[in-house]
Amino acid sequence: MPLLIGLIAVVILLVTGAWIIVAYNGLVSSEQKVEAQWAQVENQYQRKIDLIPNLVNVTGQYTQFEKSTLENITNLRTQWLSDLTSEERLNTSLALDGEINAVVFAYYSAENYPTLSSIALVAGLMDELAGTENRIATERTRFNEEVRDYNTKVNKFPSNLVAGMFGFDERDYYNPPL
Amino acid sequence: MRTAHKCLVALFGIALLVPQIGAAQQVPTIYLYVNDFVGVLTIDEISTLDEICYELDRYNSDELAIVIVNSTQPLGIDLYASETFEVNGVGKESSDNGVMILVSTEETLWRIEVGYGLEGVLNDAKVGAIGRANLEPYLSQEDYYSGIFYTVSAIVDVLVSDADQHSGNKYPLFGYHIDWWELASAIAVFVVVAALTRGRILFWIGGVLTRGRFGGGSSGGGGARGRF
Repeated sequence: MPLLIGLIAVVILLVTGAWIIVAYNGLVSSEQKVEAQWAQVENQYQRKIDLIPNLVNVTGQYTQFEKSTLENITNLRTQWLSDLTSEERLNTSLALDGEINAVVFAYYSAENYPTLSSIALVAGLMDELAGTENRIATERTRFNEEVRDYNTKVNKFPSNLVAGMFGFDERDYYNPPL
Repeated sequence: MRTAHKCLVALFGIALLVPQIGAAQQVPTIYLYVNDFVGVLTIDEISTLDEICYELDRYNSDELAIVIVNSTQPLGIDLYASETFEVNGVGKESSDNGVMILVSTEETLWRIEVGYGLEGVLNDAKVGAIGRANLEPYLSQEDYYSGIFYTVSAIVDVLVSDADQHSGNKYPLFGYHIDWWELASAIAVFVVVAALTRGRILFWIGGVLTRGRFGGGSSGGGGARGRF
């Protein structure tokens, strides 16, 4: 009789141990997905800062832009290289948006007499701007989905016990400043 | 014994239905290659476009999807295109070489969504220029076929001339991509069920042979859109 009880106890321990391993690994995979997807978001910001100033420069050779606008954009590119935190990079990206708005406004203002080549160029620039923002939005959406899956695992019972044991915390969603 | 057989057949039938039930979602399930949910293309026109896309797929495995819908609300065309692309997996999974032309007739919007793998060839500006030159003039006249045809031609031009320079993912000799594991397991399941139902499975086969699905590729939100 004690042998049977002992056997049952061992089986229960083994099953619990196995379940803990599975739950832990599930949390690790989820967390890695969150990290990987965040890297994708940063990747798209990097793409934006690499691409847009170059495009604006090329377009600027064919259209009259304010000299200061082009200088500002070059300065923002330099500033990006010294930005270390995500927040700094986001702020630089937002400042770049401001300069781009100035570019677009200048193009459509009355003093400009767009030539045929500059129309096509600026249309291409608009496409690239829209595409860049869409890519950033897509990666951020996917990041939020990964965070949701991870947070659900961290909070659900009984995997929240494993999360607490091994120190898995909830992650913040991506909420850009308004 | 007969009731047991009936139960088994019923369960198998339900199992076949499950993928269709699971597909209830905000974006449509699309098949290779032309998906006209509005009905602006004739059978012949769909056939011609299908042919072109099939040849492209055979040539360098790029998957070109054409989707015509009434409206993309409530998602909006960007999100709708992105979701449809992702959920249906346009492009081969390993190379993400998918392109999707989406036309929303009531909203008079178009969008061309480009998969990760083709972003270098079909960049946003190029795709935007193709759309403005080929789609907009014809779509504004409600000549959907011409617009889509010229757009498809332009895109195929770009993809084929690029493929000529780089060796893309070509198909094996007989032109089919065979997933051996899927084939083996499908045959095994079929044999088992056929034996158990004594041949009645053949009545269910009709429901299984649906149109082909896309390869599981994905997109990062690249592409361009416009209004017509």
